[in-house]
Amino acid sequence: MESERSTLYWVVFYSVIAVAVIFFLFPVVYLFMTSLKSRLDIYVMPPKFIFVPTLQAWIDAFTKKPLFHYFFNSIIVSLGTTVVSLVFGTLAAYALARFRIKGSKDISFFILSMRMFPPIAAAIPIFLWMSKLGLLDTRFGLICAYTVFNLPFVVWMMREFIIAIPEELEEAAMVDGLTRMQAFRRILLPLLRPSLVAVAIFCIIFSWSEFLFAFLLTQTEAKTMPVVICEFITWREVTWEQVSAAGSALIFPVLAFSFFVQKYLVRGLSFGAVKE
Amino acid sequence: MNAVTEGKYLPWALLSPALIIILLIGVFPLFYNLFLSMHFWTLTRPELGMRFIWFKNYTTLFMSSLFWAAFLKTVVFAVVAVGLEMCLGFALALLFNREFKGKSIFFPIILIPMITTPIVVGLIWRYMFNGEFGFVSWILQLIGVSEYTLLSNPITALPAIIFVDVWHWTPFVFLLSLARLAALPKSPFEAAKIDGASTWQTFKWVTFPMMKSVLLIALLLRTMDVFKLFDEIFIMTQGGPGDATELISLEIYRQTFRYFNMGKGAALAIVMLIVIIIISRIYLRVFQKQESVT
Repeated sequence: MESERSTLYWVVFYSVIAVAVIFFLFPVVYLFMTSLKSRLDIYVMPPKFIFVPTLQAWIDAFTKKPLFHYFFNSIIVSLGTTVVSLVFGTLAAYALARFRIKGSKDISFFILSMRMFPPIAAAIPIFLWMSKLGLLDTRFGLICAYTVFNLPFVVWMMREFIIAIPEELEEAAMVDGLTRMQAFRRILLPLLRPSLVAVAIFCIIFSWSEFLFAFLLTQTEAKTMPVVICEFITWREVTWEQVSAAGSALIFPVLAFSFFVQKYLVRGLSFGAVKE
Repeated sequence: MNAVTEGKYLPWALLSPALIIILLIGVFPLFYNLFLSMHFWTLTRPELGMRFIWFKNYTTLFMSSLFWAAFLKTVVFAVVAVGLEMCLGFALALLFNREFKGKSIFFPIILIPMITTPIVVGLIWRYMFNGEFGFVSWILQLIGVSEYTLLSNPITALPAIIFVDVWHWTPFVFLLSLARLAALPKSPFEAAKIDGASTWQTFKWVTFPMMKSVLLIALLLRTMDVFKLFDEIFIMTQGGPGDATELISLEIYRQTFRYFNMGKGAALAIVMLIVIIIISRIYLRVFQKQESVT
């Protein structure tokens, strides 16, 4: 920017940036490193940074426990929740964005405020009911619970995205003889596709990472990855290299997915409160 | 169906599935909590059944030192952790708010903690803090600190968890601040430059006032999140040692799912909910004000 900045300025500047980058990056890298260590390289002080990498921990983690089964659960639950929230959420968002309904703004903010409630406060009744309905330890039960927390997000985000698209396009199509829902399906939805993908990815990330409900509402069959990782660690003898492998496996998809929604991150995480 | 009735009923038809789900699985449980909180109900003593006891759960709650300790810890946690996150995140954003080589690489790297699954964050730091082979313990030993097993010491456990929270969520404040900084209008800065304002003066009178609303939003979102915080603490200390890291959310968990004291847990949840509702009201007001501006 300014060429008169001295060399000292840039040295200090880059040192601060370097410290910040290392501080935020190192722990995650360290986890991954640990997953490539052998047992002997882990339980030593000082920690080893040069070692012969091995995939043994990954193989053990995935063969000694049915991790694939839990991975599959995580995928089913994430996708199921995402589809349900996206379908119902987009329809509701369309109604809120395009119709003049009495109190539509209040409804929007009511829906948004649902997102802010602490899950633990709803956990007790949900737990009690699900045990009565026999939904405990089922993937369906988990999908129901997650949908409540994803729906507000979808409605709010999609409402914003729909408002940003000029209404005239649909109106023109309706003049040409399409019904409202046909206009929605043929004109609006294709335009919304990138937004839908972004919102879907957020839903997948949220559900993939969720722990509390998964922990309370499942026992054996429907357990998801975060619960299994937690169990790994509360055993008496913690097998750190395997836990690290499972943990790395859990966050890889999240990091990869986040990469694709980078430019929506600000909006997604502040519910559109912060405009870029 | 003609256009008039369509305009009347269609929006509600579209809204109803979402609203029904939210009411049924979202709002209804909160009210059911209210009902539960006025009952005596312990699952370990089923023969005693469920008795209506008015506000007795609340009075015992407010009389118990355990509750106030948990509440105080949550408040301290919120003030210290969120305070640090705000300062560090905003400072880092100011630093990043210029062109420099490598920005496009460093920026996503700093966001990594925020995206990392909470349970894995807890896992990473429990490992790093481990007294026998943890990285942090090693560093502490190197610089000569004798109390290096942070998580198993009641005095250092809470600060250690605050540290983890700062690591986890500073990037969030950073991200929001930077996004807003980049979107600020240019003209006020040019005017300040022409008037000969110093860097500090520009910051104090131009940048900061324009950043206030976004900082407030970040502050409120983070504060609400502290009340929700569960996963990281659960995996690192489970509220221990003793109850050194027992925040309200963990206390609810302990009352309901370990002591099976449904009424008491529900009462706690309601108290927490009231706090959250107050904060979220403020948040929504700020938010709506912003909406009307833009």
